[in-house]
Amino acid sequence: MNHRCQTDFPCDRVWIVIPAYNEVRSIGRVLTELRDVGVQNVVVVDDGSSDATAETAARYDVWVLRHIVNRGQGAALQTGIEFAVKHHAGIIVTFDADGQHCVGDLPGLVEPIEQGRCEVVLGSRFRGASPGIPWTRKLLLKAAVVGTRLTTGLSVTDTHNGLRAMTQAAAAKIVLFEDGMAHASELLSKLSSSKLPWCEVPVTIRYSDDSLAKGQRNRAAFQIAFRMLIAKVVG
Amino acid sequence: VTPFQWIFGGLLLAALIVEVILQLTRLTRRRISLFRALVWGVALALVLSPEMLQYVASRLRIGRGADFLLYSLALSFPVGCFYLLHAIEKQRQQITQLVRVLAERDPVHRPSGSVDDEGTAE
Repeated sequence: MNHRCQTDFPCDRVWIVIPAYNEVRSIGRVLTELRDVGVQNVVVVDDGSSDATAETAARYDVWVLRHIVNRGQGAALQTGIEFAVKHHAGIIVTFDADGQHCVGDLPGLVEPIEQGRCEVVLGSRFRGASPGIPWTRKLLLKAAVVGTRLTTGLSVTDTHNGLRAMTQAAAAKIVLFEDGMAHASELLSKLSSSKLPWCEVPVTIRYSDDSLAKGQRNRAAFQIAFRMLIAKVVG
Repeated sequence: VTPFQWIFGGLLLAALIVEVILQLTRLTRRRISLFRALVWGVALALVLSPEMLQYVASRLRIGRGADFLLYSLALSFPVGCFYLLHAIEKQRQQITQLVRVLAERDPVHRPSGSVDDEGTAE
């Protein structure tokens, strides 16, 4: 995936990890956008899709890993992260396959790591922009922010934002065991306990009818809370 | 001996005999089999001689044997739930690990530009 690499972007050191489940409609566009900014290393983890997501992704110059059965976004992310770490990735960026994330945010996302200011960079839609976000989603996310601040002590402004960057060392320290959507809460919890330096940068999340139809339901918030409770109880 | 003792005592005795046979033929894991045999044996003893439970309950100042049974269940239920939850979680993580290993074993990568610059893959 070596095209027009921007001079201020470490195209060779950055590995983009994309978990994908039945994203045949959007994965091609996302990979084209990434290719156009010159990203060289992309791992698409097809999480047991029943459509042609893996086949579509495999037509691009990217690594495609395939889960034989659906295990959830957290499991797919961890698979991709482990793969990137094994390939000596310098910086690992997690990116959604549904086209919600903007490739234009990537330079700003990796910049704090490049400057040595932090090891984990979290994208924040509430520092940036989130056109089209439903008010119920916004309310739930704000509630999740309060919950995260109370449980982890991290003064985040956004939780469950899939656009993040981390160094290889941070990725090796923060191992995700949550298979489903609760991985985002788990990541913040482990980030808090690891004492790794972190920061937030503004990003844009684009909501469309497609992404809203496919994305997390609001009731998922309760499932995530339940999963986090189970994880605390059984370790 | 009451009809209840005949029926349930007979069932529990049959379960105990099956457990012993499984144990002798080594068709089951020893520790689990011993635990099951212990459960059947205690249940059989209590069915045939209910006053034993009453005796234990009165020694523990609980009062009735039925209350002792209730307290025992109240204690063992959360322990059982915790054990099951832990086992399910462990199995879930093992399945994910297996899926991950299989995925990493067979990565697909076509380095040469398979899609032209206009992104015609779609």
